Amino acid sequence: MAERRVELFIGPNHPGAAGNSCMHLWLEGDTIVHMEPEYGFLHRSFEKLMEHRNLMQNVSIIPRICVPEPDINEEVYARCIEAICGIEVPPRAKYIRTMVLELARIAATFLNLGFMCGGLGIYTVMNWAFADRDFILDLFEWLTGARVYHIYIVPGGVRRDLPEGFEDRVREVLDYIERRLVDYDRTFYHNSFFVFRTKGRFVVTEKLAKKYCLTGPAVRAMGKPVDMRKIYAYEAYPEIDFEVVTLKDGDAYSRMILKRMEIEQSIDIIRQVLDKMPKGKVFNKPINYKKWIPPAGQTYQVVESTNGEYGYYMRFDGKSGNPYRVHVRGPSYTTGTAMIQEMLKGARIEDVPIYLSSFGICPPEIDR
Amino acid sequence: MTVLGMIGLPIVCFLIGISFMGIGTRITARIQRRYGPPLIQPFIDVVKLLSKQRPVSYGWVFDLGVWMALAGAALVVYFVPFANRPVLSTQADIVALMYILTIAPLGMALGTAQAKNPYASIGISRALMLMMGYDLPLVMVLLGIISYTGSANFMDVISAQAGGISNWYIVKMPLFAVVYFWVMIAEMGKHPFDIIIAPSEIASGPMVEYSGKFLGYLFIYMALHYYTACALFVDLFLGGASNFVVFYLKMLAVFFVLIWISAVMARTTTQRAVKMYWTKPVVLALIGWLLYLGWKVF
Repeated sequence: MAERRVELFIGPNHPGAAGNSCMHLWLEGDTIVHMEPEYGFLHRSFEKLMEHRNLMQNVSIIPRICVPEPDINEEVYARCIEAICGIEVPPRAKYIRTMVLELARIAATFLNLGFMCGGLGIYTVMNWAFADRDFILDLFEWLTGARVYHIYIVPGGVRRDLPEGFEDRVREVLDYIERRLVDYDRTFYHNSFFVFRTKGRFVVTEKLAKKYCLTGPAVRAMGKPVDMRKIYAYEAYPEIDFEVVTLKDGDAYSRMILKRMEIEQSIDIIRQVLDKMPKGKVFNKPINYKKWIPPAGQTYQVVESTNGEYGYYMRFDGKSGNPYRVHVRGPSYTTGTAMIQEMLKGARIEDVPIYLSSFGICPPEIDR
Repeated sequence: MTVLGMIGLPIVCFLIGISFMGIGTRITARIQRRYGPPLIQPFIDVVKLLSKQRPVSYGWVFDLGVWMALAGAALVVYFVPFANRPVLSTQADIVALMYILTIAPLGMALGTAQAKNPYASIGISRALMLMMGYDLPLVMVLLGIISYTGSANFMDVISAQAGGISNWYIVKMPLFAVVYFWVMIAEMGKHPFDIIIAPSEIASGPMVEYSGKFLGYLFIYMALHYYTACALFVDLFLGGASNFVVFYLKMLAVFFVLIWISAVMARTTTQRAVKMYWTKPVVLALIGWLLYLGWKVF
């Protein structure tokens, strides 16, 4: 019945797609009978670029790999270099990094919420979410001089200390976001259309999670407390008191609710970080960057991103200052390539944006 | 009605509709915590689009579709009393209206069929499906009003509501008003029933192949459509209006409520929309029939 099928593209130039990727759908009526995700619209090849640049030059490339949440790249890259070269990070820098990561998590969650609302057609909440994210971007601009790609977390610590009055402003913004969450609950999370469109859709089972190596909200929404912040206890997380949030159902609805609960958790973590932050220096400048040749070795470091485990594998041969091999493994890698083909089969066109947003598919992570 | 009036009426209605579009965008922007574009922006858009060259056409049926949609929307205007003035009044203009209302979507369907764009085809199939859904409650409400008034003439419906707010059909038959308002949201393609254009799914559906002048015509069609839907509500349930200012303000009030509701709604799915229209509004309309017309029968 091939002639009855309609071919349809969602992306790369599509009002509903985030760009950089294309969902090639074959439809019968409104039902998807076959689909192939197509990546490769982001012709940058980050991994190869990094092999031809020294360690500090690479710092400006890495945030571009994940546009919605660039700070995790800086963090995990810095930790790779620190692990190989044995650089100590000052305690204050660890706390500042934790704060930046959590602020970035809130910003990325708002962006994800905005995309979900765009997909569902609640443009009011989409505009709210993008606007509220801007408060965090303002903070970043003050702290780092840039709004999206901060290049703030560098091997050896962070580039500069917190400016005067920054902590008070962070607390104000957190209070504001906490107040706003009530509005989001009323208009979005309790919205019957949102519940209807997402409840019971794209359920992740334990078997599926193992098959596609899922982490992060996808498995936490299923009831498994998998959180890299607890497992690897990096930066200041071991000194922070927080519980891993889990839900039971594992569907798109649970994943969105879980991300909303994690905004509250992040707010709590940032408050604790601000309370416990020690004094001292923030940057252990390693040596002359241009002549810096790390010892031969390899490492794999991970960080908990908004969508799950986000890791870098790095290897140095000890002869050159450039990395011998870098490999980026983002959480979208399986959800956006293999699992999407299995899960979208039999779904309808209107479910595609829900899938993409609920798993937070980030095409540059796949096309790196 | 003079010849001048006949020619001028669609233009006035278009201006009313386009002002609604501007006001609607502004209200939505305020709800979304934005400033929004100037009130006159939709008008500027139409003028700009009409000043463009003739776009690429897929054939004469494609062109005819746009014209049919535009003509259908303009024709409806003549059957709806404008500030208590009948335009093309017949003995049964409400019945005629039921037929004429379907011309414009069919015109769109004709045009998009020639374009062979899957987004447009899916969009128009959704539009026709949705129309199938809301036509049943719409017809039930209109038939209910005709039976209650004892006439299918718009002017009789308006004169039956004369003499104060307590005589308005929105007070006498609130269930019918609710059902009609429910239908109105889908008719105007507002949330949650904007499944026809659904940018994140089918990239604006039927509009995707239209550009330049044709898009300008579709803007005019939409403006006329906004006017018709609001004017119908005012004439059927709010007792019409004796002068233009009252007429405009009543329509604006209806439009305000609609925008407020649609601003916080998510898009629904096609099956759910059709299923919903064939159940809840139909049941409400049936209850309305029993309550308002039952005593006439027995």
